[in-house]
Amino acid sequence: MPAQLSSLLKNDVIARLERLRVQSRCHFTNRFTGSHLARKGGTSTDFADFRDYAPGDDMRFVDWNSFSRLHRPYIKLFHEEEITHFLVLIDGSRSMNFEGKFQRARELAAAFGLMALRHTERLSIQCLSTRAERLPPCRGRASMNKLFSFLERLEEADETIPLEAAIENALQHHAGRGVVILLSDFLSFGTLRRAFNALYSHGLEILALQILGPTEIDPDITSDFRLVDAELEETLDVSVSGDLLRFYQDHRAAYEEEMRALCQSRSGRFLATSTVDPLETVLFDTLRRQGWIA
Amino acid sequence: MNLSFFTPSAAWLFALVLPLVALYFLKLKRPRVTVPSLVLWRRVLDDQRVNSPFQRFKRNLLLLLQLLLLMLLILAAMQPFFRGADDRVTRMPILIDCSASMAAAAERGGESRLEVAKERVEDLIAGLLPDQQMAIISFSDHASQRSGFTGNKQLLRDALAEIEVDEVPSQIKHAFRMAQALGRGAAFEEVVLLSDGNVAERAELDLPFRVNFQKMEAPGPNIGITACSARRGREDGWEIFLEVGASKGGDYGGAIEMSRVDAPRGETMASELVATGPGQAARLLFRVPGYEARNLKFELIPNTRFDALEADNVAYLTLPALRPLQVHVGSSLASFRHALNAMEKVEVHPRDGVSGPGVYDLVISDAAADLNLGARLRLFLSVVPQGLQDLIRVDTPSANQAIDWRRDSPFLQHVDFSNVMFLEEPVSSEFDEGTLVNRGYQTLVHGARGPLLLEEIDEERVTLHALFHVDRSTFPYRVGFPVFAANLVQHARHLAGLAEARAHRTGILPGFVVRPEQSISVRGPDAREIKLVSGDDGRLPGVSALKVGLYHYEGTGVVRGANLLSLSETSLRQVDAVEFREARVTAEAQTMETDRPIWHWLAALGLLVLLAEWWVFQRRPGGWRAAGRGI
Repeated sequence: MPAQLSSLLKNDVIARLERLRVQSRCHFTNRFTGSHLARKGGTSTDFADFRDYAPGDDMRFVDWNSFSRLHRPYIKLFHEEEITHFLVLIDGSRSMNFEGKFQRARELAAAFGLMALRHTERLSIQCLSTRAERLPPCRGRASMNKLFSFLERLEEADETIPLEAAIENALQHHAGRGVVILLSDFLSFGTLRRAFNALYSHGLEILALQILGPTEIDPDITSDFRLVDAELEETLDVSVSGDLLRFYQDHRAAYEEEMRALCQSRSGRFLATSTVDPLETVLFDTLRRQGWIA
Repeated sequence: MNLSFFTPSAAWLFALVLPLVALYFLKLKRPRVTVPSLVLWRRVLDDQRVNSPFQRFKRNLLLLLQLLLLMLLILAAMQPFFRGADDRVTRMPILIDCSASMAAAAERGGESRLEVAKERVEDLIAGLLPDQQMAIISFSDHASQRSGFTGNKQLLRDALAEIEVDEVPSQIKHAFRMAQALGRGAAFEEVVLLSDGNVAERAELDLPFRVNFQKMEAPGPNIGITACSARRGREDGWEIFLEVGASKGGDYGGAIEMSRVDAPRGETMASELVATGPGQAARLLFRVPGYEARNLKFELIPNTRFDALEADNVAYLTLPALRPLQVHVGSSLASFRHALNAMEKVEVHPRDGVSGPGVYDLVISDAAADLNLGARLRLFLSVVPQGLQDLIRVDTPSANQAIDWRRDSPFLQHVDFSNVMFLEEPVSSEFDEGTLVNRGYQTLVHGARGPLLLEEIDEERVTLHALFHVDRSTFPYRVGFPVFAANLVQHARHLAGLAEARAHRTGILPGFVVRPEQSISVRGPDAREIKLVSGDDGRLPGVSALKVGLYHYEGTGVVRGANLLSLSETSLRQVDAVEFREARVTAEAQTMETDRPIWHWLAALGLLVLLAEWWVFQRRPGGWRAAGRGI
């Protein structure tokens, strides 16, 4: 039996991930040549369009076949292939310490990172906690071990800073356009509007993946309880009845919609997952169906 | 029905609501559950829907359940009850009719009326409040106090369960006499009478209390044997008469089968079809030879689909073997010997100087020594009884005549003493009828100065004392003499059971003579054994026979049948009112409304609320405990 490359991902998952890549919609690219097609014209082999010839154009790009038929010169345009920067932000707040959410975030970060490295994108990872561990930008398959060892070293947080503040802090150490993959439960009292604006203005397409535990999705409680917030240690007295749980579901769905709207208004995407779902299902079924990876 | 409280003073317990509410809000040590974030929960609790009054109500469901539980318990402690009647009674004697007709049912497989009555009493017992007491008296042809006044419901239920149908006609007066006796120890105002109405319409009683007459519903149709007797036929045999009666409300018919009681089932001696109309009776005649004693069973098989009463479908009759009447007549009494010798089936002893069998059915003698001869009927002539010798002496005047005689006496029917001359005259110094009665005698024929013919009153036998000698009178020459002799023979036959036989009715089976101080057990139809010991004279006491069937006197070979034979019970007639001396008690149109305590329902409801609270609120959350966090 071959040794596992990582404790986060099984070998067969890694093998399948190597054939997939993250589908970016915005094509935020950098000036370095890469494997992502840039919006501007370039010198790749992928045909983009025709345009009229203008004096001074490189004669090598004149389409001579069209000239012979139409007796007018046209210039062939090609896509430019540039590099995309993948920034993976892992929520390291204490709320992620429940029901394997942090572990699932690390696994997903490994999966996204692996796909990015496999396609020679730039990858950097930051853990949004007080310790602010970060994986500096790296590229290529050679960085795969660095990726795995970084994620395996990440530990659950003891302290908490607000998610929106942590995102803004992370952007201070980031440079480059691309995709930001935000792995969090997004259970924050503050508003994420400003943080998302900052991400968008940095040229990052937001892919927000909400990770929730089963009891957050479907609380199984009755009677009177005093709920204690794991992050703020605030308390809330709740007398749970059937209707209250129904209202909880309504508000959870509304919160998801709110987050989805927040992302979509910034050309981003949002998806909620449960730690109960197997990782393979999330990666190869849910995310593929949603068009996140292909 | 009005709601009342037996202990309204317990209402002060409502003050416990205040500490309960205070403790609820003070205590409420909620289990702590650590959750990842309160973001969603805050949004939920800020929701207007959650803060609607109904949701607030639901949020404090625990408090409300506890308040509800407390309310229920306090209400139960106040012992609420629905008042059945406006005037409550604290002592309630219940008279339950358990006569034969109470075994009747309204339909096949239905409840008997006694069972219905017992269910009603069960309701009354269940509705007893702590300050109420009940006494139960059952009555049939006698009354039995099943329980004295008590509030112990279990005792009352046990007493009620013991009541069974006595297959005898009802005598309502006994029940009210017992109730009167009960009232001497503990006063009460009203008596509840539960009966089917198959009782006498009049009762010669003064009632010191009200009577609540609860009449059971009418039963189904019934047909039964109401009379069974036999008489000696003209030939040497028995003629058996049966009467079959029916209740109102349908057409009736059936078959009467006669068989020996010891014959295998299905082996019948004779069978007759009988048909009778509603409320009418039909009579049947069977003939059997009389050369041997027989115990006969008559069974009525109704052809109707349903017969309300079973007990009247069978009758038992014991017939002795017919034999000549054994008569001892003193040798000097030629006139009597002459008269008796002319009669059929009469053997006169001594005959031709040969003494008789020693046991006679009739003794006629003028010798004081013959007083020791045993016979059921004895006539002594010119012998003053030992007990009257200080009162009566016999003179010998020239002539004496009878002044008056009791024409209704069975011995003197069609006997005329008007022209009879007596040469002996009994003289009583203190001729007073009361004195004679006190000494156990009654005068049948009065002379001028004393009684001429006396009847000695005795349970075992009948002894006539003629204080004159027939040979010293003109009586043998009168037409009345052979009639008198025939009356004696007929009565002797009757006493010996040779003239007629009647089926015994349920109630008390009469005793008979066995050896002195003999111990005998009697086994009845319900397999119960009754121990009897005969007295010094060998007479067995009567046996209480409350069930129709055969009673075996072990060791004697005697088998007696007890029969209902009551037209009133078979007809199942119902009276709507009973007339007492100064009051008329009418059956109530509606079932008696009783007090109905509901505290136990409230207590049970409280228990349910407690269980619901425990189930809903004490159940630990499964999901978060499984998560290994919190709580």
